Amino acid sequence: MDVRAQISMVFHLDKCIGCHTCSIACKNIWTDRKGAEYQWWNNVETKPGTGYPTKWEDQDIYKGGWEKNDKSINLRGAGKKKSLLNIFHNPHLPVIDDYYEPFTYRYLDLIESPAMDDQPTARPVSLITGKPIDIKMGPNWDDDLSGTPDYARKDPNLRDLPPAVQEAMFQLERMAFFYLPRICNHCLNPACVASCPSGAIYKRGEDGIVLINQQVCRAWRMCVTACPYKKSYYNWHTGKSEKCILCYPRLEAGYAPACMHSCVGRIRYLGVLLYDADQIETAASEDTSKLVESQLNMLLDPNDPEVIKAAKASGISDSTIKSAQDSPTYRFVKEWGLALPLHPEFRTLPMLFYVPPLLPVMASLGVQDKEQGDKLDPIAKFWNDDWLYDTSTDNLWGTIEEARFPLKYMANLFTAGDEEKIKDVLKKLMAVRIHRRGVTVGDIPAEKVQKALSEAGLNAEMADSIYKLTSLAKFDDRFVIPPAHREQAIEMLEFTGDTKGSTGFGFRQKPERGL
Amino acid sequence: MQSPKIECQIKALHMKQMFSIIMWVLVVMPTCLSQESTDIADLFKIKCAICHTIGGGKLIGPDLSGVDQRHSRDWLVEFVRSSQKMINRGDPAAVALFEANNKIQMPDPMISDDQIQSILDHIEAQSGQAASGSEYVSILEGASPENRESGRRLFEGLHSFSNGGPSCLSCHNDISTYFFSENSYSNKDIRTSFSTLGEAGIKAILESPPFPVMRKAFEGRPLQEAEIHDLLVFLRDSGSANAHANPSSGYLLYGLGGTVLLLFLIAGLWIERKRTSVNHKIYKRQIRSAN
Repeated sequence: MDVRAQISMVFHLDKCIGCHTCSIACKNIWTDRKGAEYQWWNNVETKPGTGYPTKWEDQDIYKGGWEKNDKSINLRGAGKKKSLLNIFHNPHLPVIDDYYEPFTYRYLDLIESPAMDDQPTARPVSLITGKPIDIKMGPNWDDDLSGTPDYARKDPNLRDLPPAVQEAMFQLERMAFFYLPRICNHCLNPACVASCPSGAIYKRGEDGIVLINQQVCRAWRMCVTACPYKKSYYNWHTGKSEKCILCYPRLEAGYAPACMHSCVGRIRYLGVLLYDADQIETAASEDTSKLVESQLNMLLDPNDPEVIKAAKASGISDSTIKSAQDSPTYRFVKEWGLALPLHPEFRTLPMLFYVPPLLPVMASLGVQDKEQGDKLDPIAKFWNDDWLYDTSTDNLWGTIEEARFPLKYMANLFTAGDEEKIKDVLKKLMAVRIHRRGVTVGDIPAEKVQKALSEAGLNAEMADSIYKLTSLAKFDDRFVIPPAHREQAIEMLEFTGDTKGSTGFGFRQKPERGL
Repeated sequence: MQSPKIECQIKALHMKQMFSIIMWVLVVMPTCLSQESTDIADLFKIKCAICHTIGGGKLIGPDLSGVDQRHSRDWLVEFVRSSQKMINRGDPAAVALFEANNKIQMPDPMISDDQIQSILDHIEAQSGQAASGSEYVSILEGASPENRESGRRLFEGLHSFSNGGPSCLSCHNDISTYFFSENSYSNKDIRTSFSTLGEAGIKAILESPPFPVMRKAFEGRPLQEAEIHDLLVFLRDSGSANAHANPSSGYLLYGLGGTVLLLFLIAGLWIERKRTSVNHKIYKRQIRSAN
């Protein structure tokens, strides 16, 4: 057992309101530079939608991630042989139009324009060429299902859905969507690291953050192709590739990453997971149907004495183990089994997990309560349609099975097509709601609540902790950041005694007497 | 007591003086000596006899016997000083000589006008006598294919010359394989040399090269008798065989063919490449509808 520590993330999609605050926070800190204008290390996508860059999930186009061969796995679009063959022209590289041409406006024209009959306008100009352009695309052009025929309907995840089901998803008043915020997954089996011909990309030993060494990067851009999530970007100005650094300077200082810190919906959780590095290859080479399971099996129980012993033997500090024990991500991912990796079929073993959204399911259906309606004042507005929340149908899980949002679609996103797994998670989420409705409203009989909880594999205690961490969690509950122990790292490189006495109070010139 | 520093400086001074003396001995002395001790007959041997005879028949250049009767003394002095200048100027007699002697330019001998006069005197004196040398007798009788092969190996540098001279291929076209002949250092195409200059001419060139670069290359490293023999056999046999092949005829075709092949190869290798942006169609449609 080779125990290692990984800072992992959980995004609770039920809570995401799609405000893009995370994207802006990230942009302001890291990518508001020449050559990086088009890069969104954090972006929020509407699902269904084609995302950013357009159709990034379609690996027939971009050839990202790993594919299984007989015994193990190999990179789909990179690797030694393919990289050598394509070293001067990478044929699957996204071009700027796959992202969008970054732009700004000539705001100064508004101020400096001479007096005219018409109002002055600020013309859009390209941030690459500096010349006026017609804006064709932005980083979230398909936001909130805009341009559906071009974008949402071409979502690669709709591929194996029957046409009738697809049609139903886009019917007026039946449409549903949710948001999918994305950052680098800081994978356990990162394709970008494997693809780099210069060896510039590495996974930090202490916390598993994947970084690109800007001194070593030689702009081969194989990582841009290899990353199936398209989270490695090429900076045309510096001639280096860049990616999300999980705000490691902030993490080392004990702060949450900017995107997480600024999150309005408080959807983001961050904490340490301990995993067994010996299992990486076997886990990534599993059959597609077993990928999620094998990935979760790699994650170790930080309270298990055996694991703690092995972790200490690997040089993981006590404070990191303590953080792993308090980790909110461990609870979401392992204890409760609520969070799933995005596109496990890319086989990179992503360490960013998503709690799938229940909202479209909950809002999908409900029986009009005639009795309640009759009690209302005749002039009161009575909602005659059937969109009101109702979790008290006779058939306990009916709302999930007849979901407005096809389970298959969710399964394509989070479980490599396994609908049962996604149903299990949704049942758990719903059981928590039934339980809490029983507690707070009291209109659901106790035995029904109990039935729901046990069928979902939960108990009242667990449901309460899920509720607490989901709805009431404070800053320190959501982000359990292990101390970075920079002092230890520094002491490995230099002897602090060398500079002792070299600064502080003293004489700049020799005094006449003394010394 | 002298400090070590001063001692050092004195030593350095000694070294400097010693150095200048050595340099003087090495550089200045030989030039003086050579100037004083050169006899006209020797000078003729060194500068002229490689290509010319006096009454011995034509080698590379014409027989100089009676040259005084053919041209005036002034004209001769000027021609010897720099024949190239006269040819460039278009002097009819000089051009005629150049044309008559396979268009091989006579190298400037780099000697003074007085020495030219003396040499011309020497020629005049010698011209009266009967032909001093006998007719040239070919040495290539009974040459075997082994000689030819040995000559080829010497030409191409597969065997080095015993005195260490550079192989012919260093500067000249390989006359047996003419494909890359454009790349030779010397512009002289020697494929036809044997047929135009004859055995005697080539032999003279090989024995004591008259051309400045070639002379420098073989200075102190003369070719051996046997080596010259083999080279002559090789030049005679292969030179005439390939004399009229056009060295650059294949180039363009090979180039075009190679390009087409390469393009097909590239198109085949990258047939599954990402050809356009995924948004290409959307942009196209949007722009069309906007217009």
